Amino acid sequence: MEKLISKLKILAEGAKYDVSCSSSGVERKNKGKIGNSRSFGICHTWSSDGRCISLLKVLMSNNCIYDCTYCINRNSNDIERASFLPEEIAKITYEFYRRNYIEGLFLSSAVDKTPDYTTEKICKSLEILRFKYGFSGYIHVKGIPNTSKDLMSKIGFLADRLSINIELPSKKSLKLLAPQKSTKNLLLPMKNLNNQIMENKEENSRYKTSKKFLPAGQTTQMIVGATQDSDYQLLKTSQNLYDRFNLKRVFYSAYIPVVQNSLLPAVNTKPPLKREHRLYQADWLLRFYKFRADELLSETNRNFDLQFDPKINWALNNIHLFPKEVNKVSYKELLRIPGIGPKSAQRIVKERNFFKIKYDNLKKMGVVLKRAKYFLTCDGRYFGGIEVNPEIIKYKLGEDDKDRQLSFF
Amino acid sequence: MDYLYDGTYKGLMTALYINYKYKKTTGIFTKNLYQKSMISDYKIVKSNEEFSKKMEEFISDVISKSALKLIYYAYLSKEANKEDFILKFIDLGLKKGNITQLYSHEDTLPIQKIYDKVSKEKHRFLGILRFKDLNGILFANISPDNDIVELIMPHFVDRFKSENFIIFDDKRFKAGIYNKNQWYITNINEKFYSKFSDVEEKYEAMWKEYFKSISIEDRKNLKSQFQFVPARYRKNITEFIK
Repeated sequence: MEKLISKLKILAEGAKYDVSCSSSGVERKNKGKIGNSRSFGICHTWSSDGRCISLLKVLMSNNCIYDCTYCINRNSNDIERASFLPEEIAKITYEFYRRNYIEGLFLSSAVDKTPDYTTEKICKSLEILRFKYGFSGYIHVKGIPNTSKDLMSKIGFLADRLSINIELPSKKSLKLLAPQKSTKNLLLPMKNLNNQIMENKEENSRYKTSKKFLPAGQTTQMIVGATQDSDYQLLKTSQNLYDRFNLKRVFYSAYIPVVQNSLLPAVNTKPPLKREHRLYQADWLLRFYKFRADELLSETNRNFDLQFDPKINWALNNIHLFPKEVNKVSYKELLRIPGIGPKSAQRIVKERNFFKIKYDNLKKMGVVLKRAKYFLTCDGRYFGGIEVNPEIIKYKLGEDDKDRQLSFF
Repeated sequence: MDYLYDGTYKGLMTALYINYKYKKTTGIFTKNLYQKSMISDYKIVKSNEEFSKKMEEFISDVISKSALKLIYYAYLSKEANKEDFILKFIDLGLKKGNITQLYSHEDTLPIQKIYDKVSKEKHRFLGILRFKDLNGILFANISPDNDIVELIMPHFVDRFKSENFIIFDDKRFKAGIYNKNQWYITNINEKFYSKFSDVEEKYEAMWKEYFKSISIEDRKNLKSQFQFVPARYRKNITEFIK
């Protein structure tokens, strides 16, 4: 047991820089002995960095044949090494799950010996969990680049979600920091898996076979701030992945320097958390607000403003579209107003059927008036109190920020 | 006249039925929390299966099925004036129809907000509830703000269908019990004290170690952690118990 705890410590340590921990995307009743899955995902706890813990996130092994510069597990790094046996992983997952500590397993690995050897071991763990323990809960698996296609397919029928991390959004950066990875060996498996997911969906709709292939789809992750790549490049890459491979999500990870290397930011550099936050906001705009990357950034405006969020920035750059009348414009247009989100927009649309919406109602519906008031009219009246002019609005919004910061002291 | 009910859902529905079918009330209250006063007269309403069923049907037909769900959640909330909010909500529904579509109206907003709160707590407990293995029976102690045991039972019954388990609400002395076959809610008069096995301690230790290892020091943010896991919940969550 002691030994197992220290192994778990080492292999959790090695997995924690992977951001994704979500357990969403599949609604499944308990088909085995234990476990089910809820489409909305369930967070079980939050660590002291404020991140949600939903899945037991561990590595199969941190022995790595590669030497990717940015990675804590690279073979030239002098750290403690450990590997789990498949039975150990399955048992810990099962026992944690029974106590409702977790929603399932997120199994990743360094590349131990060969990609196929590593994936075989992952596969074995899942088989024990699914068949011996009758586990019907959520499983997310990391795809190891260069794994054979057959093995990947096998994994696809055992796991709910698979992710292959792109890590860097350009060929140039990959070549520099992770020469073993290439855009081709990252994107090709994503494409293949997407085709299989589509085929499986089609089959399921026709024959109602119970075998589902990656029902919660694929995700990926990119590092922010390890290289010179711009926000525009990152967001364009995300947009492409959503469009072409139907990715469920792209995660962004502010780079935390774990090694001293001339190619990378110095070890005491603070992780660019604000920038990461802006990218998440923009990504949200792509997925839930139907924005396109090109609307938010361009070749001449390549990085997000750290002071104002991407939606406000977009609105200020397109001020000719405002103010919008909340009693008239469509749901899609409501979503474009800063301070209005999907929930409040839906409430507005429903409530308009009963009554004309007054300014007082908006706050109760969850609209953030501090931002929204400059961009809308309510029954023809404008409540911003100033001219609809981007410079003046910027100044006003900035003042609000200042007030907020001062009130901390 | 004020109507006093026994605190059960059936009792509340009976009181509502009498209000709409026979005589308008000045207010509905639970019997044991009622403050008698000089001015108002009161009447004790006895729970009635048939009246309660009829009232539920009435709400479903005249307003909507989802309105009934909102009212049920409001009933389970800790909100002091919930009966009053429910009366106003139904009154408006009788005039306007399916008012679950209305959010910010003064007679729907309290119910909508309470519904959001109770739903949020229900969802939260699907995650933060912790079982301990008590020699083969899983046991969870919870102290939720609202009376959510019956809302979370179906989720755990499906998830742990091959286990025996008890979810005990130590604020209300009420437990949800599942015996691999069916589940039910029952009142329990005293708290549970039981020794757990050595294996239990080992898995707890392992989980706590994992919980520490997964955090990233450079991103430390205790304020955000407190927002997600408020202090009042922590006494029942394994990894927060020292």
